[in-house]
Order: sequence, then C-alpha cells, then structure tokens
Amino acid sequence: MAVKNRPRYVMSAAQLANWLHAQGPDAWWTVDGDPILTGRVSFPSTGPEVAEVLVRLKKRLLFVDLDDPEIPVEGREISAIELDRHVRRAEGGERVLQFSWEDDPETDWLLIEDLETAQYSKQLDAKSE
Amino acid sequence: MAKLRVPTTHYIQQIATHTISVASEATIPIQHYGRYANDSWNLLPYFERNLKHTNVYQAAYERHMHRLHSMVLLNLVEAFERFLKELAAICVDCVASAVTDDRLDVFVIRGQFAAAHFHEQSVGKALCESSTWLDCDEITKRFRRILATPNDPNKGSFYLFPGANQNPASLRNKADLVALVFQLRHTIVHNAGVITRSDAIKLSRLSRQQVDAPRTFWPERPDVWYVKQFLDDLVETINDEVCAALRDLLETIYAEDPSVFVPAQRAQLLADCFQKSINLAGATCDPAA
Repeated sequence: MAVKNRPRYVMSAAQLANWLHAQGPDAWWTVDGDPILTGRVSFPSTGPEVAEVLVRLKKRLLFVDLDDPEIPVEGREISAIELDRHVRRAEGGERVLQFSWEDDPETDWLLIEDLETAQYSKQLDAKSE
Repeated sequence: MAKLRVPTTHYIQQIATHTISVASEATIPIQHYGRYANDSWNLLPYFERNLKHTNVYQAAYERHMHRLHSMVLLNLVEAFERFLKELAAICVDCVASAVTDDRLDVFVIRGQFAAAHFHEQSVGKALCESSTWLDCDEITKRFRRILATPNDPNKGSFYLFPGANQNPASLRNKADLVALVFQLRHTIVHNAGVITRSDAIKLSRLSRQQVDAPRTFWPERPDVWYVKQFLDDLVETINDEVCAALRDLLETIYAEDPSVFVPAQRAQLLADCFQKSINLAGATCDPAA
C-alpha cells in the first residue's frame, strides 16, 4: 500500500540524517526509488555520506511504519530517537524504512541497509591494515 | 501437436512504442547518470533481499545472479557513455553559436544521419548522439577540440584522459581503467560474455593480469561495486573539470566580444547543467532548486 494511504509520521531530513549518524560509520545504505537522493548520492553509501546530502536538502519526509498497528495522529512529528522503534528488518536482517517526501507523497521510496557491502568494506579495511 | 505460432513481426514492431517519460533529471547529466547508475545497482540488493533467504534452488540462483551482475555492469558503462555525450552536447550548444572556427569538424556526420537528426533542436545533441563514445582517444580528441580557445593553433589544451604531462591533473591515470571497462562492455555486448582470444589479449594488457580464452566472463558482486565506485567518482571529477574548462572558454570568448551572449543567462545554464555555483563575466548564479 502506498505511503499516502497509511498512517504517516512526519520528520525532517535533518532528523533522518541524525538517525543515520547514530547507526555508525560502518553501516552502508542504498536508496531505492527516490529520484532526488539517487541523483545526488553514489549508492551504496555510508550513513554520514547520505546524511550530508539530507541536511543540504532541507526537506521534510513522510514515514510509514509498515508493521505499526497503532494509528497515530496524521502528521505526528517523530524524532531520530523515536524512529528506532519503527525500523523493520527484512529476512536477511537488513533494516528497511519506507519514506516519501512531504511535497511528493505519491512517490514511495526505500532506505535499505546494504549488509553485503558493509561486509566487503570491512574485509577491504582488514586487508589494507 | 503443432507449435503455437504468434505474429512476431507485428508484436516486435510494437515494442518501440512501449515507453515512459524521460526522468526529470535528464537535463542534468550528472544527476541523469546518478539516477540510472543507482537504479541499475539497486537490482542486485532487490533480488538478493527478496530471493536469497527464500526456498530457492541455490545453483539456479547463483547462475541468474551472475548474469544479473553482467547486465548491471553493462548498464553502468552505458550510463557513463551517455553522461559523456550529454556533457559534450551542452558544451557544443554553449559554444557553437559564439565561435566561427573549425572545432565542430571533430564530429563526422553523414548525410543520412543528419536527416534523422533534422528535427533535433540542439546542435550539440544532433552531433554527439550520432557517435559512440567508447574510445578514450576519440573522447579526449572531441572534448579537447570543443573546449579549445578560439583559433588555438594547438587545437586545445584540455584532455579528458590526459597523459603524464597533460591537464587536468585530476584526470590523469584513468584512461587504462576506462579502456578496460569499455573492453568488458564489448565482451558482454558483442560476444554475449564470451572472452575471445583477441579480447583476452586486450584485457590482459589493460588489466595487467593473465586473462585466458576462450572463457565466459563471470563477474562477482564486488566487481560491479568496484566499477560503480570508479565510474561514480570519475563522473564527478569530469563534471567539475569540464564545467571549469567551459566556464574559462566562455570567459575568453566574452572578453573578445561581449555581444555573443548574456553572461547571466549563460551562467545560469552552466549552474543548472553542472549543478555548481558559476561566476561568468561578473554574473554569479547558483543551480535552480
């Protein structure tokens, strides 16, 4: 179901940037379906690299918790700390979050953790030491 | 039982009409590249995420994923080629009406292709889209000529893939890797992934590794990631350097004849196309939001 038809939280891109920073520099992410971020960031990318672009965008996001049975007040603002409670994990353990931009609610996109790339990156770092 | 026959001619003729709108980023080469490259890459985690942990036949999964690795790698190289064409087209459009030398002779266009591009509103697109951009020497020659100062007897000093003593320095030592990536593309496109003996000789020289033939190209996931990182970084550097070279060229042209263009308009065009803040002949513009 599209984000626009589900209960939606609102958050600023800066708060999402804070959340990404909190996941640490070793987590890798990709974005699927968003023309704004995929046109500006080389994915897969670390959290701080994505966060830098998010902060520059100064936009607001709609976030839907796909598993949340509660129906929050439409447009309730959530912070980076609260976002943690709503993160879904896929079969392989990667974290998946679904968003749309507040000024383009029709376009859903996913922020997805890339565990494979994180593993390769760790192996490359270990080899170079 | 007779084999089912379908009117393939009719259906194949219909294929070219199955289209969707061009992405809005198509007017900005670096964003157009980024969108397509990232979308291509996302095929891999999408299938891994949805198939890897389900009840799949592992051998079939591995075989299909390796084929997908080749397809994504090919897409990345195609995106890079298109980026070069789009960037060159912008340069030609910015300069063509302001100079009268022979720089555009670097493009060879036959009459039949000129007719096909007759309705193209952009001289740059008409010239650049009629050629392939898959040879480092040819690419360098074209950008060098397009970005040369007017009536330069040396025919230009900007080298997109410069040698040891050429500029810009940030793009030195990239040509061999780009040629290697182009050769891998050739293997996938023209030989369905089979490395022929002639391919192997070229690949061995470019990669400085022993490449055997006949073999089938079988790329792993990290291989695609390394190529993407390389091309993503290269695109960013090329965007910066071509933008700077074009700006400098326009500055020179304007200094010789201020009637050829309005600085603010040209500065805004560059800012939007290259996504950089531009100062041109006293006019400063930022990319439109």
